[in-house]
Amino acid sequence: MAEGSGLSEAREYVCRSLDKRDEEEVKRLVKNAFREFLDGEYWDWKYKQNPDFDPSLVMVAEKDGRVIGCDHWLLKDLRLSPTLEVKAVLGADIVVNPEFRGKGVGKALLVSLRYSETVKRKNPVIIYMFADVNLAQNFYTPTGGYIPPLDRTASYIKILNWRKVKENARLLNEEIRAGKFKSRLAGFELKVLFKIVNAPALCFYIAEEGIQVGEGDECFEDADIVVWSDLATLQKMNCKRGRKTNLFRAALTGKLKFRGKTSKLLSFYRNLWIIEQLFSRRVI
Amino acid sequence: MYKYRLFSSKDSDAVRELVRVTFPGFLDGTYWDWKHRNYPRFDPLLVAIAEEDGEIVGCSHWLQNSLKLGSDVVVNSLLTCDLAVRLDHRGRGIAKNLLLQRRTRETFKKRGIVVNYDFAGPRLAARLYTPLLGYLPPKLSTRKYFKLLSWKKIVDFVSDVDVQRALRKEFSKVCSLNMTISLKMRSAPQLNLIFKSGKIEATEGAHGDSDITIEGDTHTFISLMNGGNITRKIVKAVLERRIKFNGKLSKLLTAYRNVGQLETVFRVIFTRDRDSVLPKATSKYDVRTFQDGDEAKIVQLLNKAYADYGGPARKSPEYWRWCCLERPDVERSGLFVAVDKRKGDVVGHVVAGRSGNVWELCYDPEQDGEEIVPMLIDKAVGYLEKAGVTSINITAPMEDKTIRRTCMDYGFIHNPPPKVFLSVLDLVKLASLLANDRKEELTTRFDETVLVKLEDAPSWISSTIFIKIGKNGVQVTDRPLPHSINLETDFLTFSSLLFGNLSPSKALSSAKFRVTPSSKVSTLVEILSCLRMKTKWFFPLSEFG
Repeated sequence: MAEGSGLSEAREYVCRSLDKRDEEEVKRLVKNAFREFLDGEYWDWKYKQNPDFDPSLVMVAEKDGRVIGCDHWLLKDLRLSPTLEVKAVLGADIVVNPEFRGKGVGKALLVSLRYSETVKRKNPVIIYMFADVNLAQNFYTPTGGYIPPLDRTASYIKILNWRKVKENARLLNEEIRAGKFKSRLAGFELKVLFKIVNAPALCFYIAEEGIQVGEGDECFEDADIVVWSDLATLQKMNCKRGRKTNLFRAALTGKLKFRGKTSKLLSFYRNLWIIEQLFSRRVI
Repeated sequence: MYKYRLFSSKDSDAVRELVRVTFPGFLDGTYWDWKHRNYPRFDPLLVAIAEEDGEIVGCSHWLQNSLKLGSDVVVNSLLTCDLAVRLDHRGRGIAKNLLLQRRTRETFKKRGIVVNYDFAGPRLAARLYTPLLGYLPPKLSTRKYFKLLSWKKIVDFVSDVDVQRALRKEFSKVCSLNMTISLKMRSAPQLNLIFKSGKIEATEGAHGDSDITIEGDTHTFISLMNGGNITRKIVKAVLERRIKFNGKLSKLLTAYRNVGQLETVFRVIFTRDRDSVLPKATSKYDVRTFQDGDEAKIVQLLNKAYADYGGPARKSPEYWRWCCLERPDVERSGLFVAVDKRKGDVVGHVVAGRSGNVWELCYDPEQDGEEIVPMLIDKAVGYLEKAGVTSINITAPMEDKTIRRTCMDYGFIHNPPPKVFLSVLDLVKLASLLANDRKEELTTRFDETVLVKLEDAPSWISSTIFIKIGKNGVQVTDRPLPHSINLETDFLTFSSLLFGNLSPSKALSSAKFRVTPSSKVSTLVEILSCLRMKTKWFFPLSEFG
């Protein structure tokens, strides 16, 4: 068992390599952090069955016999140019139990891995990872000097249905039935139709009693408000920061268009929080 | 050589299918059975068949009934109907020969037939029925009333991926007009044709952004589509106030300038004439599901397709099997391989997972991507639609215009890809590898030793490195060496420079470099320009961590 080194400060936890008995706890930790992405089956495939898997490159942080964090590295070969390939590691799935976040556990795991015997022995020259830009700026760049390369990867998406929005509406309706938004929804009634380019039409009937969602042929034509937009604009609305600024910007640049009576449009704007709630989880 | 004969009961399936294909949307198998087989006066001797090599390629039906010629005069008659010739056999006189089959005095005399009648479009009648058989239009009191409830058929036709692609290819100019034309026909829902971003889209109902609105009655509009001088017809209809155009003058002028192509597009759309736009050539390629043994060829293909990109280096077919085939959301039925029909070579592949992710989409850059990519995307989208996924994600190199265009045809939009970040674990080794990769250029041009002093480096990075370039080769070390150039900078700037994000001259101008002696600045800039990676990076979705 290789204890993490390279950290001088006294800690309440210890960083060490993954042991067979840690697997279930690590799986649980990863599953809780990436709820929609990784379950136990996926962890087994990604690590245990991976031809490149080396358990000594999975570092766990342990406190009082409990795994409170883990960091997975995978050995890879990376092509830097048509004539140059180097040994590299892919920094994957770093997780810290929410109770212990902000206490330097993530950094300790990263540093422990860097100084581990396996890394010394295999001597990879580059580490790469995929991360949210904000997380990279706040954690990875200051901790490990990560920078974005000249990435030419383009991504394309096609929406086939609005099942996730319907699921959001179902969850919201449960809260409405429990009386959560009673005062905010009192006397409110609105029919909104979204006509989104390259996606099925989407409509909401929002009332005091709850929200009904329809898509495609289920949509009504007598909506109080019709919204025309495209998925890219809608995606910007989905950002937590500057949602209203994005809304105004999209409306001014013609990327978002509304039709409806002024009174209804004002009512829609005042109750935009409902639409935000319906789109709050990742739907695109 | 075609053979003409009479119908027999064993022909039912083939005839039913031929009629169904020829009159789509109107006659399906059930309808043919009802109309002919179950007709009380059905006479198989009045159905003519054309065949080639035992295959039915044409048919013509006569139905016996009675026709009232006057208040007291009722005669036996024959209705000619459902004359169908297979698409690839048209223009060879089959229809003519079918119509002439059994058209003998004996046939009519035996059944007491006095009159033969037919329903046909005026153009077909003028071209075929009148010259061949002497049909004449009687005085008709029949009025047909028609109400259009929905443009669904038109909308579905335009959104068909093959039609989209064909329209884009044939009418590229009007596809980029960037305008919406709305048709407000009396007693019909509004139809909007959007010519934007290199494609045509049709929607039904109110549209908030119409550039041109055409108002009028259905009859006038249909008459515009019936050939002849379109400009003259439009002017006449406008003067007679049967049709009205609204919109900005600039947009109306743009439409007028493209009236020829617009008219053809409208005609294709309104007649839903696939044959006039879809290519008839058969493909060089075939798509099939994955078979064991394809792995090695797929790995070769990936290496070839992404050879110029920085990113994951492929290891072995075993690795690919784990990465794609054994992935929890991947089934073999979601893995398609494009092969060259003649040589049997693997020329492309797509891996679609039930999570909605297209993990890999790749094709041989030396083959016809314009043909392979749509075939593969079509298979992947079809599979994922059946799997009931909410959304589909595809990644590809930004430079790949074929994949981008095909994705747009299929209604995809751009989506921010997962962001990759790189860092250095061993700077001495990385700089040494890069220097040795460019050894020839460096050693012939320079004879210098550079000391790089780094600030804010992570604890595992040595804060000083020496790069020695001379006739004997290049050496990178953290052990002190006598040096001729001294560079002081911070770790992020230096690694950005090595990874190619930052140019040395830009770093210098933004005061991120301190170089001594200053006389060596230009030499250092040249050395660093030579060292830095110029590679663009691409990560297939299957490689995302």
